[in-house]
Amino acid sequence: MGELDEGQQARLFDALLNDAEKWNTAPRAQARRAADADEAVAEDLALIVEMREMQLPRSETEFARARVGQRLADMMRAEPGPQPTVERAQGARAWLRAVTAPPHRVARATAPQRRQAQRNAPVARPPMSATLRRLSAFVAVAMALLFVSLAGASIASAHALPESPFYSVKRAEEATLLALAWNDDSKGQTLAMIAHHRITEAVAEAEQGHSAEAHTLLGEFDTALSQLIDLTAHAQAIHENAASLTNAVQMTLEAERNAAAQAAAHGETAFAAAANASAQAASDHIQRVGVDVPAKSGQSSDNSKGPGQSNSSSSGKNTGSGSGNGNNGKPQQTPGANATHTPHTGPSNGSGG
Amino acid sequence: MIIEEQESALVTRATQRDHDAFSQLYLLYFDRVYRYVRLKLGNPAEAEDTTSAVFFNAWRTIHNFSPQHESSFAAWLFRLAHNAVVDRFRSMRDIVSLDITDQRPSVHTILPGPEAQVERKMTISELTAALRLLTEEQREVVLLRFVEGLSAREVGDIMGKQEGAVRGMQFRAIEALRRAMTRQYEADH
Repeated sequence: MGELDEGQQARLFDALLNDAEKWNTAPRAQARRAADADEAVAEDLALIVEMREMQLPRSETEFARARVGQRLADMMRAEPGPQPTVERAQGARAWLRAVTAPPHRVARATAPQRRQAQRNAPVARPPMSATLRRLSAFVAVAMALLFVSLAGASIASAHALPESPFYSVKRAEEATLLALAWNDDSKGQTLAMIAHHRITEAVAEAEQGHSAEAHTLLGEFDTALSQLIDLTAHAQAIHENAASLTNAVQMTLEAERNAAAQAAAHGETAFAAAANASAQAASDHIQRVGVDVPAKSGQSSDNSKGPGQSNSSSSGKNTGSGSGNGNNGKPQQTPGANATHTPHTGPSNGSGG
Repeated sequence: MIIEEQESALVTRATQRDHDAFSQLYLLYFDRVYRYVRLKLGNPAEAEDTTSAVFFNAWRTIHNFSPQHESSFAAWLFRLAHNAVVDRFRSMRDIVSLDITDQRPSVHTILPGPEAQVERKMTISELTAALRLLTEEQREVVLLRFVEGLSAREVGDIMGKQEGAVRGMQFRAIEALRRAMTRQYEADH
């Protein structure tokens, strides 16, 4: 205990830290048992672990992220010089497929590769006692946790449901992306992404028997889709090319019909009916504002209604606030989108950003 | 690693003025940059202003970013943050010094003994107060190397030092921080 001089401690500390960056896996308890190698160095390493686990209050970070994002978007728009010229590599259809990929598909693709990368990583460890190795592993775990938490939070939140601790991250990211949307096309893609998030969440909640949450989320989907339709109409009126937006409208509408079919197949008839009514209302909205949506290649069957019902127009107006408006946490309980969902038929108030 | 490949692709697109790619990079890095700036400045409003400046500067100059000449995109971005904080200190030195005297809380998190250390978590204000007792270089090493987890080479790039110099400083920096926290704890009890 404390027998090393400062130079030796510094070298030990450097070796442990360097080693910790190359390999990992060891529980915190093991590291504590190894702390008798050198008390001062052990405390220094414990202090590093504690600092890395420390987070700013989530509310502060999320508000700051949204405010700075908005300010940044304003500054970028005001910047003199040429506008962005990079064309999107992916069409709306491919993009929507990518963002709506099931979560297990992502996990299967990445986890084995990470494990393989860890197995292949060269391990260069200086000669150390087992005790010291355990201590360095302690730091390694903390480092791994840091990087995983930083990079993984975004991935984990992508498919989060309202009950998830990552859900507020997901909503905050949506709001930021919407605020940062550079042009109509970008904003439309973001609205389509938000709509897909909501409909996916709504189906999941319906399947879990959370009817009120499902209808609330469906109301938010309607709001996002309505904004997308209005945006597309605006783009068609002033732009020469709104193909990606119309594709996004079509795909989003298809997603809602698919969700209705999926819910009907699971016996969630009330939700299926609401989703079908909502899809019909959106179709009416599209016709009313004159958006030219391309012909659908393979519209899903309407399992919850009879043929005569599918074309009936719904009444009612969802006046809820837009999706991705920075509300962190649970989905908004929009007026007109309560447990008895009322589909959105009227024009919305723009971008919602 | 998949994540690194994704980041690399985003950076490449952003250098070509792809706004969406830059937005994704903003989401990836905001929390880290904001935390770094926040711990350096101590004030949320100042931190927001400075973080805005960092990312706007990144957007304006990202076409100059070259993976061949930088240790990483993170190091490049944190160097912008480092420079922005230095500029902020220069322009608002009086306000910062007032901030230090008015808001320095007592530091009593790291107790002398591993058992005590698990009893409670360190808070941001406690760390901020202890960091103020360190030299500027020590503070920078603690924040970049230990809080943000950058490599010694990346920290060297940011601070304009050799990797070996950073490795030489890091033990003294963490020792100074631990002693500062212990001293504060003993003074409070």
